[in-house]
Amino acid sequence: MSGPDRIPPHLADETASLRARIAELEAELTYHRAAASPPPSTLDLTREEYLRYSRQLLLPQIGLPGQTALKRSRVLIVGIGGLGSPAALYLAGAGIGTLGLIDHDVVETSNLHRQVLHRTSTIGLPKVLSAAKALRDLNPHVQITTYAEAFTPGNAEDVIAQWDVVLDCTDHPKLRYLISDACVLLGKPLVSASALKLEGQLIVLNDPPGKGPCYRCIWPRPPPPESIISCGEGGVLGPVVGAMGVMQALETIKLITRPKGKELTQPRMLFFSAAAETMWRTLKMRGRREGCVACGQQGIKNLGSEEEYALFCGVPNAFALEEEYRLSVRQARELVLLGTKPLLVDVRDRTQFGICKVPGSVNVPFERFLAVGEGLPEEIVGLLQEERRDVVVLCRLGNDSQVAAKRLLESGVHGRVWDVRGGIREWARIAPEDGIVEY
Amino acid sequence: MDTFRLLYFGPAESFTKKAADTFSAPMSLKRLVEALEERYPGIGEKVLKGSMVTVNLEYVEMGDEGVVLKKGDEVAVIPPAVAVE
Repeated sequence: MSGPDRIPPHLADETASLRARIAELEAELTYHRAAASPPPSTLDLTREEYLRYSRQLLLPQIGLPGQTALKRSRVLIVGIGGLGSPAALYLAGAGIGTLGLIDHDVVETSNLHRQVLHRTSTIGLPKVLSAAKALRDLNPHVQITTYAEAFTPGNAEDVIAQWDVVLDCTDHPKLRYLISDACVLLGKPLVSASALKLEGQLIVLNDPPGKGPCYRCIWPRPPPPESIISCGEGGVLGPVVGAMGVMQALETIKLITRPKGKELTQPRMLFFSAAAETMWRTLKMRGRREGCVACGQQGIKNLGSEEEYALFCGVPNAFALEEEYRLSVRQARELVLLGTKPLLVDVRDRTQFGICKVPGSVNVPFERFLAVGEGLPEEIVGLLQEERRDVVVLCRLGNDSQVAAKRLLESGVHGRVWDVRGGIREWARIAPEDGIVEY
Repeated sequence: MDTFRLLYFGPAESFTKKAADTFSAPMSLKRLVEALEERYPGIGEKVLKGSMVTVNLEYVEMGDEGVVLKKGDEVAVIPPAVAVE
């Protein structure tokens, strides 16, 4: 039996560069098509569309007026990931006239368990192109505009001004405040959802524009930055984030097709918790906050800078460890395997530690550092009491490890302290032979 | 004894390592915040500050000194469901 031929090394590079070129050309084509196509001359539906939308046309709440309202509408989705994928699928299916997609990321393997628009075959493609391809295949009547770029204070107003309704499908607090501010400034309703681990939240903001509360009214203070940068906080179950994205599509369809004057008088938040006895809760929210810095009486006149949004949400750099306390994976390996044999403390949670670990490392979950106030977790104290050992702190990506290492330094341990730049992910790339995998 | 239940969600649950606690009623919201800080040092700054509180599925202002929690109330600490790597 003969093994497969060796893969010629240039093949991967060439494939990647061709993919990138295809993506570029497709983006250009989309742009020219959008510029060239005239707006629909009639709002009547084609015969095919009557059939296609038949099951929702039959609903008295939709009917022909609702369907033409959907066809006339322009909906922007910010973030084409776990929330944006199902939202876009249902909105395209329902016959939204024009869908706008903005995202600067490319499709990665670890996206596919929840980002149901993307396929194994579109890994490496910009998400907006992967999404546009799938959505056109689903419903060719929908016009699709793609922005393969990040949503920033620089382009926020220009982008949002083009649309009737905005969906926030992003995953960073900084962006949530920015999107909300831009919607307040330009008078657009915002369908906002988020999901984390086993929980999700959904609320329609600035609805009707100028009256409903904005994101800042609901969350005037951002979550503390220590929780934002935590490496272990990134997990989410596909159906949880999927359910929230589907509900976003539903709220968007309701918003577009409701008769004038039928707005909800009291804003509600839909709160989902997969692990709780009661999975769905509807929370009655307050209206606008009088002193809200965005939509209150003073109100915002323009958006802040990128730095201002980052600063408001807490800059992770504020926690950064000085260079002298940071090791590369190679340096850390040498110390641990051949050198002074420092104590290797892995601060990932137990679930992640169970996925893979560096031989000889001990697990002290990061949350133990947060739970004990300013002191040190007792298990570390115990381990360090025996001898004046040096400590190397490791986490998944190299964020939590900096905070934990800083804590160790500040509490005056006797030995030296470092963290490992890039964490387990980098370790998997440099030394997979240690049994470390990227996940 | 008259009591009410306090539910913890998201990071609040991670911080307290509990889904719920029971407190004696009646108790002012202000006193509850203090009691939480005593029981879970640091929770105010690390969790409550960025969270919202609901009483019987209705949003209440955390700083609202007039709120009194009564027997049988369902009180919840709900942080925003956001995080990134």
